[in-house]
Amino acid sequence: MSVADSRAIRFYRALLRLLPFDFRSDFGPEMETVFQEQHKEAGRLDGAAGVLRLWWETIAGIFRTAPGEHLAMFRQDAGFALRMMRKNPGYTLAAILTLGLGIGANSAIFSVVNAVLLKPLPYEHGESLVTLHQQAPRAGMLNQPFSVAEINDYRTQSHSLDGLVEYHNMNFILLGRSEPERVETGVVSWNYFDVFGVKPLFGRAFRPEDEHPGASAVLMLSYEYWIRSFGGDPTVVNKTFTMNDRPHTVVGILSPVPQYRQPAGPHDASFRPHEAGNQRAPGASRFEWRSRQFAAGLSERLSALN
Amino acid sequence: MSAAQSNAEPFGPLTPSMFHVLLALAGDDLHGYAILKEVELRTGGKVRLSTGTLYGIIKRLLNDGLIVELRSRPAESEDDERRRYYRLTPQGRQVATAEAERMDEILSIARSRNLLKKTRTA
Repeated sequence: MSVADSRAIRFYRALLRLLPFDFRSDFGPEMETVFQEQHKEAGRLDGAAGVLRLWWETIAGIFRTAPGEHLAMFRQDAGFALRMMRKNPGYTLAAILTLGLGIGANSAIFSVVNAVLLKPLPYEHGESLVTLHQQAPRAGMLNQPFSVAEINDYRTQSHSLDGLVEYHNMNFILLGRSEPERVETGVVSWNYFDVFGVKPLFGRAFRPEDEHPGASAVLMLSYEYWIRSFGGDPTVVNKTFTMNDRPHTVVGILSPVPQYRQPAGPHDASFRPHEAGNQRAPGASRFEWRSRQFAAGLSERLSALN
Repeated sequence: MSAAQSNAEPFGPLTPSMFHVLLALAGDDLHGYAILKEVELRTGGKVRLSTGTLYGIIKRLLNDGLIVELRSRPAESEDDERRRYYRLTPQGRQVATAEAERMDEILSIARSRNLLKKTRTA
């Protein structure tokens, strides 16, 4: 056998591995013999063109046959397995229960590990987001609320923060629709959505001027509330509703992202910027930093001033 | 429907390639390579079976009992031990006959409608 022939047979043998093991065991040696003869004849009669044609037909034939053979083998094995399971119902039930418990337990564990450890926060640079809590141990307060002035101090005096936002939640009555509606509202810093990397679906996010004293009151609607209460109508942007005895204009609709909320509670239907000048934002108890180094020095300086 | 056709019904319609293999074995007991050459010769090179296609067909025909592998083999000097010879069973012959009768009926209809001008002989 020439070198070319033995190489051809080796390649053909590798091609046969596409076929099921049982099929190869039954017919493999015979198929090799037949192919060898075909290969010799093709080379003798038609030269390289004949050999290429033979290879093309052979490869196509194997690829046509292999899936059907694998399926037939699978059907045969599945049928056998089902017959065996029917003959031994007790053993089958024990096996199913064991598998079910194992799969269920693993799925539950993975769900927790995925949610807590693996899945990144659905926000931009989520790994750099931290929550800060302020304490006043002398007053016996472990979760001291922040005032707006304190937030501004942290914002202006810290050198290691990329962004600083504040959030707290309030309930308001929204007027201007067919019926008054009580809405959960997040009261946030103007750059709240910028820090989280959330872009509005329609309209705009808050701007610095929205926080200025005397600025017109504005609102952003959450995606879920917009779909639920306004049927996804984009013309709600620039409409005005009354909230907290003031007209509020809807400036934007949020895109569908999971809402940040601590502690876990009903999601906010709307958001509004908090108003500068308040000495202490009611319920303000936490804010988020986007920072790679916690500004410990700044915190101590501010504590010393209190 | 003839007796052959009613006996062949459980096996369903044959593919052209399967029919060619049965036709080849209807003439004589053959090994795999000889079947390939017989089909190619009879069809004037129009039908060329690859090894994958041929042995997929042989496996199915063996499972359905239409062909059998021969236990007795030709004389040693003419034989390669890796070759396996196949023979058409009586059932296989019935199935091939039924298929041929079915095709003959179709050809008769085609001739009656002047789709076929003249008969051809093998």
